[in-house]
Amino acid sequence: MEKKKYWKSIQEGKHNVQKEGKNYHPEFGEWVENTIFKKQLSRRDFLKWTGLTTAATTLASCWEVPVRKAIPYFIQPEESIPGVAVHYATAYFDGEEFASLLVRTREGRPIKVEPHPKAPFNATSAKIQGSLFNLYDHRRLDSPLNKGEKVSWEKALKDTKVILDSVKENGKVRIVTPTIISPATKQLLSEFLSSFSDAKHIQYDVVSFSALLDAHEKAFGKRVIPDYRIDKAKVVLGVEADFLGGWLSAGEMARRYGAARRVTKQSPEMLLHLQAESRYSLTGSNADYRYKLQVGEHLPFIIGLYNEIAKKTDSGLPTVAVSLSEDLKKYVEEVSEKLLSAPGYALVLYGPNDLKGQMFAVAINYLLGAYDSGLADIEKPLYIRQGSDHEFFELVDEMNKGQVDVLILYDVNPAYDYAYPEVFAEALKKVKHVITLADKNHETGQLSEWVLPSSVPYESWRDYLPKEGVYFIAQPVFTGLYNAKQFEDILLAWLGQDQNFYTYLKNFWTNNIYPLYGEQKDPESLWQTTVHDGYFMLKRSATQGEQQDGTQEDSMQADWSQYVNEASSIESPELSSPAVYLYEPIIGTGRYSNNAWLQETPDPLTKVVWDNFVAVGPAFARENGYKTGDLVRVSLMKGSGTYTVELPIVVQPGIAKGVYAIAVGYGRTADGKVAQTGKNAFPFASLVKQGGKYYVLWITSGVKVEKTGQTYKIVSTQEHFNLEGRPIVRETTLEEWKENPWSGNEERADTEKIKKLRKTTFYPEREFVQHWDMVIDLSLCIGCGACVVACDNENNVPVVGKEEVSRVHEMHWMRIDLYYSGDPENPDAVYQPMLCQHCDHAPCENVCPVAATNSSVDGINQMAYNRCIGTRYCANNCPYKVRRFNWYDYTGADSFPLNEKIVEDGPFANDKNRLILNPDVVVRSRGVMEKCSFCIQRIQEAKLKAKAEGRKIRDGEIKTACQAACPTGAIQFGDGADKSTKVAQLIESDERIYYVLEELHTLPSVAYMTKIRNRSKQNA
Amino acid sequence: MHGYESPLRPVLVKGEKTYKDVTRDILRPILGKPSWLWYLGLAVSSLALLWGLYAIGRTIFFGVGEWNINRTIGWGWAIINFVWWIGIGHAGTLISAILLLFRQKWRTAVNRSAEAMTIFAVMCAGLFPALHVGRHLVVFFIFPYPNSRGPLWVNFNSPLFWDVTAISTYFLVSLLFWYIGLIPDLAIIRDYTKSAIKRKIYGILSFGWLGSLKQWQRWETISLHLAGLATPLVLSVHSIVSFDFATSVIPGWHTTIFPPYFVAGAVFSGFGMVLTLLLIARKAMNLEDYITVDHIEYMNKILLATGSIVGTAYLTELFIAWYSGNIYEQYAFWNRAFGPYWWSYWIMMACNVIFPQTFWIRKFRRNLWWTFIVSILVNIGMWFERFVIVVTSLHRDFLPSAWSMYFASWVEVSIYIGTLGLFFTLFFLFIRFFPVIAISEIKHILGSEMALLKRKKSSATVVESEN
Repeated sequence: MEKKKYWKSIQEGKHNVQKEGKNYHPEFGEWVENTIFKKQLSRRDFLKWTGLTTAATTLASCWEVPVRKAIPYFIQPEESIPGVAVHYATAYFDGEEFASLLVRTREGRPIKVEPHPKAPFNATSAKIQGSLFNLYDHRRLDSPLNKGEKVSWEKALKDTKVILDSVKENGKVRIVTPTIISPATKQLLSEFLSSFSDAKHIQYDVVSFSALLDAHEKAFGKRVIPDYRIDKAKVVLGVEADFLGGWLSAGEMARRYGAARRVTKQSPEMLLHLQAESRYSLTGSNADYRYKLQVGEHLPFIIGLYNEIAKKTDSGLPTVAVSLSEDLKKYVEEVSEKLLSAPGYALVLYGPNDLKGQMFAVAINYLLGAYDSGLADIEKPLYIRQGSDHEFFELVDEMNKGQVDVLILYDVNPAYDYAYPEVFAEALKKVKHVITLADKNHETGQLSEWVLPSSVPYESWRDYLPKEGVYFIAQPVFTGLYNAKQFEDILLAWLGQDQNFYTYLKNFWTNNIYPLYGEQKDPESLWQTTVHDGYFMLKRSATQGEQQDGTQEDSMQADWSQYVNEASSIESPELSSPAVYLYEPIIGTGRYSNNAWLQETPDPLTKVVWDNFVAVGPAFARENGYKTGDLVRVSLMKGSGTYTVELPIVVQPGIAKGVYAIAVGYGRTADGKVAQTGKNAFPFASLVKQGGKYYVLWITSGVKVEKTGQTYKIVSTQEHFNLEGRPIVRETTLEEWKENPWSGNEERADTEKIKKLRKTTFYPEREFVQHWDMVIDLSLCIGCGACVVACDNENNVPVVGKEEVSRVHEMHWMRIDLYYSGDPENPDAVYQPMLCQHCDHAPCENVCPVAATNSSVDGINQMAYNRCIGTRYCANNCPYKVRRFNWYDYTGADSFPLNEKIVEDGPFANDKNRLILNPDVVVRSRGVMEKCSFCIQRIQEAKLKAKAEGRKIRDGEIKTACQAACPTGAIQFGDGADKSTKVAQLIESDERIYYVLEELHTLPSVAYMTKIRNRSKQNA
Repeated sequence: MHGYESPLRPVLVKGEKTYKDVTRDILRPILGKPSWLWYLGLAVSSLALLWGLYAIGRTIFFGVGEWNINRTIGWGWAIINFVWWIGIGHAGTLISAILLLFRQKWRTAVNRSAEAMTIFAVMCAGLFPALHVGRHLVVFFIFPYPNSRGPLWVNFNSPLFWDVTAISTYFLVSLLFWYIGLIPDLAIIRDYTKSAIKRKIYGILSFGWLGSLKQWQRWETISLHLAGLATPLVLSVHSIVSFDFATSVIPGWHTTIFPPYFVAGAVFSGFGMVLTLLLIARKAMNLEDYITVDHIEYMNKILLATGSIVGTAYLTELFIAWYSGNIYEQYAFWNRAFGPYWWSYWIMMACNVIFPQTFWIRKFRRNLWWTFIVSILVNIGMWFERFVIVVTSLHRDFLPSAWSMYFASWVEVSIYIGTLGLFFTLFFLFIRFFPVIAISEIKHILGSEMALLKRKKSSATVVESEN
């Protein structure tokens, strides 16, 4: 008999009633219902079912589930807290520029480089700011290649070792590297070389300083570059030396320049900057007096200057016969007066890699007392360039003769950047075995038998000695995404040693460097200190024993009369108009060509992006009928044939007649899509024989330039360089400023009136407990663009590519406005960094219909991205035009891949490149407005830290990315409401402070300081 | 009711029409078969509409980057077209509301089509603000509705919000006004049509209108009320549209003259469009007896008046720019006339100020061809006025470093063509399915007309005839 069932509700009752019927839908499917629930489940059945399901689940769990992306720490590393950044001190050297850095890492991933707060050489150029991108670049090699085929590291190392072992006894081995400033690496290299019977190490510098090094060798017996202390100089003359734009070390030179150019009421003196040049360089655009040279006049100019100074100083040194034009005579007279007005504090920097000129420049510096005063510090020289063009020339010769058995090329790319790349490529074929060690399979790598992926500096342990007595240990900040090995580790493997370079370095340090510390502490703790701090100032020198400051050993010096005679006997390079002048642009010389940030950073003087071009002066353009955008064919007869490229013309003010200025570093053929923009200009360099040696000269005559009749789309971010008489940029001269500190800024002299006007408003006055303010000193901004790249990096600013920039869609939060004034043939330039002014009465705020942009309690104009609907009214109404709109999906933040407009090889291009993105800053999606946030993430971080520590935020504790990156220190940031801060005091009391478009009553938080040129009144 | 008939006032409906004639004439296109011209017109305009829809689709899918607006010029053709269409949408309400209050009886012949035009123009205009935003899916943020985000309200200070409010109000009132006016006429169609389906549809649309005295009385009352409501709207809508510019800080936008100048310009362009359409419609639909040369002349007089106001405003702007001593303002106006966009300024000046001045002469006012040409020139001129305001003001504002140029992309042009397509598609459908002249209203004036005619006939005076 069936059991009687009671039901609790009607539904349940129905359910029970209908259990067998047609409309019955069992909850778990009929089969389950019938087998499990309907039956009286016995204990044995229960166990059976349990066993079955457990087994099934276990089996299913054995399946390999694809793991994607983020993996949480299994064991959390002690020092790494998710969401908290860790900073590591390290150092970076790319063969040209050295910088001591602090690398910000998040969850083990470096995301930003900043200058080291304490160490020397803590200045960053645009290149260094962008260098972290190269670490992640997905074009990097991830496997050794043998004749283009991927092979394993084991095989690669074994096979290459076999090759090397086969030539140990009888065979020529040559290693080409960029300048090596690592003492440990040098030691290792010499060990490696000594294991062969005939091996040689050749240092190859893309931007060569051979002539300068040789000139100093002749004068002082030391083949070094004196450390040019322009920070201590009173007068500096640059002769075709773009020392702020890449000559020697852009960032560090700019830092020193800034230190010498900073004018305050306490120290009202500033460096006098003279520049004599034919090309209008970034450095020339910052000069107080610019002397425009005609093509090739730098050599007569420097000789004439030498004569004049030799005469005026009664040095007794011989004068040298040279014919000078009227202009040059005037220049020489004027410049020599200015240089001699500051004996011991005047310095001449001669740019071209021309031995004759360099020797005279050395003689001038000697006469000016620069070596004696340590202004050109030959005692503690720079080591950042050691290469010899002649050695490399000889190597190519040897290779051509088929004498080289094994050629090891580390981190050099002569098939792209040598003056005769095709000659080098030809010679390479005659080398039995070529082993290239590089981060990418570049032009040279593609011609090599073996390509071994080598690490970039951020992945390597290394020590550096960029300058005598200044020792750095660079620790790796990343284990590396790519299957690369450090150069030194490969050397160790070839030597058959079983240690890695870290051990080698530490041993080397203990034995060779630690004794130079002159410290009593135990090595281990000093090692820890050095690694932690990143640097150590050595008390002793390896070469000279105990360091003695400021003393000059005259015995070492040459007989100067004889030196001058030797210099005058050296042949001059043949230079006639027209000539190609090569220069290094923001993207550097090839290493950073695939760096989309740098490619999109505007050229300082033309604001052109994504291309190199032939820059010509306005008068020369008129004469020849050139217009910006005209495509011309530039050709040069070279030894083996003619090198021809087609490049667009850009008319740039200030360039002398007959000068075709072309930037190198473009037109890579064996790198990413980004790097392929533009044309390679390296082959326009020439090899010049002087004093029996060859030098690579970046000025070459004999070029033929003809119009093709076609035009080319050249894209720039600024189209109008005329201020139209508007008081947006204010400037004065040092003399006038000393007389009247309000000069140039007379509009604000009536402080009471200004105060009253600033308070005149319909609306209630806002009170701020904290108010973030920025002060930008226009005297210090040199227009280098480091801030732009730093901002791109810090704030995940999209790179949009040439096509989008041509549609005026660029996204830079920070831009540097450039205005020219005066004679277009030799104009004055002024740079004005322009960013969101964070107005207290912001015109953008009241027009936004959805209140997506508003003012914070601490005076920041903020954007709520996810509230923004993108009417762009705010951008229209911004008088400073600093708001940027995401016209397309530039970042891949939207869900449809089809509508992405991402630059190939850019920072958003793929998962590997995207690792560079700052996790503290949201990636903006299509259709929203964005702009400078005053690095609000940094402010917030500092606020939280201060709060946790129960204190106020210290003045200077928060540095915006642009401020930190600025090598000259033009940008200051702080709490303007706290009257004790530097920024508040400047705003309160400095007469040079002004606001752009103050008359609109926007009450900006960014104040500018009147630019001071070190000129006398009549020259203003 | 017997009123005083001015002997000087010319007759408004020609051809000695009886009430039946009126009904027959006006219903002819609705009851009969349309001509091939109608089909062609509809085909062309709906193709244009489809093309526009494609461009709109691209804009929504790929982003506003499909347009050539940029960093410096954040608004381009979209906002120009928006203001242009809103301006065109001004004549209808002005005719129906303000002229009703002013007892301008000639308006009855043109008010229906002018109102329809208003509604279609506002529909076209409304598209642009919705399309020009960056994030189309969240446009609704602009409406002040209670929400779970705080609640987070809109920014009541923003002229864009006022804009949304003003235009939606204007659209609603205009639509109501137009539809209520249509009800008695729809009932006539219902009664006349032989098709059962049409009868059903028009029956529903006419809300069961019987023409009882009570209904007529209520109908008159609501019409008057709506006229009263609509009158301030005519002035407010374009004033508020002008605030989009006037409340900003941009030289060339930041001017107090904008509200009256915009309203005058809107009426100007509205009448330009009414004239263009009616000159075609009266010919194509044989309505010469209803829309007479006198009507055209009246409207030309309005064109002359508003055109002169606009011209005065242009000159005032120039004077103020010079007189203000503000270098940015001075440059902005210099740049309008002699900068890279000089041509747009001079097209605007010629079309809006110079050509309409010919209407001081009666011969020109009554010349249909000349009127047609000028009416089109006026709309070209008014389009360029908005171009001058939006583009030339923005492209060179305060900082010369940010100066830039703007030329529309094909997508922007296509969307504009699409809205023209939308406008004409709707207009073609309107003339096919609705009476283009308010039958019941024109019958009102017919009574007095008939009396006048009779009187004139009896006194054997020659009726002034149409050429």
